[in-house]
Amino acid sequence: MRKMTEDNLKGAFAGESQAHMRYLVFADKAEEEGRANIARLLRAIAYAEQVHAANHFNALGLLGSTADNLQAAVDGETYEVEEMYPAFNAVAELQQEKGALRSFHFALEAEKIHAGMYQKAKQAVESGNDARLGDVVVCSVCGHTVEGEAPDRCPVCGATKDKFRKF
Amino acid sequence: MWRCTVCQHVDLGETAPAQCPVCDSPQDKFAPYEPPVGGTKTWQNLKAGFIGESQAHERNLAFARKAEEEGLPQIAKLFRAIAAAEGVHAYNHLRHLGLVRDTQENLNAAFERENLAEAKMYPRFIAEANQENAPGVALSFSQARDVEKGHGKLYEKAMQHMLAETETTYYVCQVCGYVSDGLLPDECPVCGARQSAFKSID
Repeated sequence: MRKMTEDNLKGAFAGESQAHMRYLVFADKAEEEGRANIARLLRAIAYAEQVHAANHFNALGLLGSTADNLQAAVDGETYEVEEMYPAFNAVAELQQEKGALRSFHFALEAEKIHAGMYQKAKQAVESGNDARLGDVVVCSVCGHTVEGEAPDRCPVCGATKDKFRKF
Repeated sequence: MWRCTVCQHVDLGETAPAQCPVCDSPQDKFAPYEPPVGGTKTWQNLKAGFIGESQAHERNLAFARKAEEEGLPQIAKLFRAIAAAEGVHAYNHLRHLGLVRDTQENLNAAFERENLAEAKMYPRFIAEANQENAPGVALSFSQARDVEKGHGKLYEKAMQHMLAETETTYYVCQVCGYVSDGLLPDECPVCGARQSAFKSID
């Protein structure tokens, strides 16, 4: 693939990914305001943008075998843990932006755990197995991810047990 | 928007909540939320964080489908769970940017995004893909453009009828993202996919 088209696919993937997320958030907000139909429209279009993002991602040739995908996931998390969030944190600290600091801190803590989970899963796939995995629960306030039971209080943000979503 | 001065949770409501949903602090601990000034480093970083997390979310969902195909349901579950976690991070960054407003304004923002994608972004991408002799990519871009045009119309309709909401089911084509309002098509008018390729959203 030539450079300009590759860059455009990357741009389109970034744009559709953001649109997908924004519309899901907007849907939550509409739900909160008691506008169930608007919420449903936003979720429908969010899903459509997800289809576009997946198409662009495939066209970029970024979807490999699961073993490759796990490695790509480990690399992504490692970059965020070692470079991106520490740099973002340092600036937010300097500028005394407490809200941003909190948002970055939550992400950084979860990404550390994710990297380890991917690593373990990758070893299982490389030895020819599916991963042995119980329930995975995710804190809907900060994204903290745990294998097994949800804790009474999230150790990262302090949210109560009912804030965890099970997979 | 309101900020809990104890745990820094940002609440999206018009009025401060009676109790912080995260740390249980009472209403008087809430102060109006002021997002970082546009263009400052922190603002740029929140934006970059939002973009990165949104992409990671999407990528993980694609990886989950691939793992499912390969008969690895546990790995697929792991990808979906972590996708949800990245979604939470994206949500938090977006909230701290102050970009989640009331539904009227959110619909306006969504409508503008669809217009921009349909009228500016995709036409240029299609022309450049043709120029570089990538017809498959050009087709994918042009289907996306046609679909965004439909989304724009749906948002417009929603904005006009916000008060008189009618019940409807939306059907989304899983091949190209075309959204049909209330009617399950025999085949997708944009990409020609069969009826079975549609997913209903409730």
